[in-house]
Amino acid sequence: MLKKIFKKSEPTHEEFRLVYDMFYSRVYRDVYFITKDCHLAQDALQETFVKAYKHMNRLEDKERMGAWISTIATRTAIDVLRKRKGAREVLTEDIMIQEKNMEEKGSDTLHIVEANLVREELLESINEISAEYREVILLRYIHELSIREIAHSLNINESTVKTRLHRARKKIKEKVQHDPKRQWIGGE
Amino acid sequence: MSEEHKWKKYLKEDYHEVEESPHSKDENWEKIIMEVSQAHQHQKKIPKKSLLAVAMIVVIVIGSAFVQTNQMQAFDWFVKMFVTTDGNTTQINQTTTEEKDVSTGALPDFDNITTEEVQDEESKEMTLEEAQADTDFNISTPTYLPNSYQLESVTIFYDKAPATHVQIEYVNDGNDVVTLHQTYQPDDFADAKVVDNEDTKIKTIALDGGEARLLEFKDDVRQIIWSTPQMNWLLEGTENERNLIKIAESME
Repeated sequence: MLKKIFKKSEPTHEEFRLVYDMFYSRVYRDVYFITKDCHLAQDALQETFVKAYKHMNRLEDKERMGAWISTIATRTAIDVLRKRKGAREVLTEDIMIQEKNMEEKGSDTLHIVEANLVREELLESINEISAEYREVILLRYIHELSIREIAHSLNINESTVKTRLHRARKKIKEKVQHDPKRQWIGGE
Repeated sequence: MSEEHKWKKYLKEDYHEVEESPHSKDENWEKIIMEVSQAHQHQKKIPKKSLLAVAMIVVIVIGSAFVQTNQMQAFDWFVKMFVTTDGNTTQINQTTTEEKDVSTGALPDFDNITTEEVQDEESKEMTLEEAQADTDFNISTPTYLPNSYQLESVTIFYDKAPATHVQIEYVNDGNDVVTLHQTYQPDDFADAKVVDNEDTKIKTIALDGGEARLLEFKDDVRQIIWSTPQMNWLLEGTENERNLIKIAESME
């Protein structure tokens, strides 16, 4: 068993480049989804691959590399946000979403196709929730990781993952429902 | 299209709509490689692997001196819980056995020991009644639930046939979640859980005339783990210790 543990070593330059090529787009999309800023996303992307290089020898199941690297990416993106924007703007789990005033849009909104409006407002509300909530939404709904996988990867409890998902979904729904110009999602 | 499908569709579209990175892929690669090379130069020397192996063995041997054991007997079943601390981590073991005396020191029959790889199990959400019909054991629910908790979901995990693991989730108005895991173990059984001492406080608590372990994680989540004959329980949530104990003691 020890032999198995110790035989692992850091990846070669070629191996690392292969991983980079395979996951570059995925990682950039992940960190952009969290930061919504191309400069912060770029910083987070670079840090993600540096961390991945250092810890790749710890990855047991290489087939899960995508999920593994995505969790590094989301964690790193949140860290980058914290450093660059200040803790006030990166809300912790227990802090609710930022209450930003929803300004009425111009009358041209009326002419936007229904489906586009729905989509726009949903995405707008997702971008307003805290980075930690976006992280679990990304891992659960885009990368389709199980609750257990998310909890394991982020080193948090399954309850915490579920609570974040519940809260995120509820907040997004509330946000859209309380938007005076659009009440497209019906009741329970 | 259902609401959930809409969610996923819009999310995936948004995920793929990104503003380009200011630097090209190759420029980012150069920066990463530079960072990795610098990290290599500053990397501290680590002890030789052989020394690490020896150190691990020493820690395990010393750690075994700090083993706490609790045992209870009900009917012909013995339920044992061990807590082993070795500095940074604590291992909690649960064993149930039908033997009359588990402390004889006799070696186990290695031919009859099987191990199972832990993997993501197939699961299905259903009503409590459907879950009860789909399992061979009595599914218990708490009669006490504080703070407006309501039943949210019942999930059966099909790692074995018939299913032996049910998870029941309750959610309150503040979207806090309390989760109950009930695992039926009709045969001899051993399970272990390793936790990081820096992130987790572990203590023994009295529960319904027996003992249980309370784990408090740094993210304010608490777990109560206990065993009864043929059943392992795990209750998890952000409720305070008193409330969680009351929930655990109200199982019927």
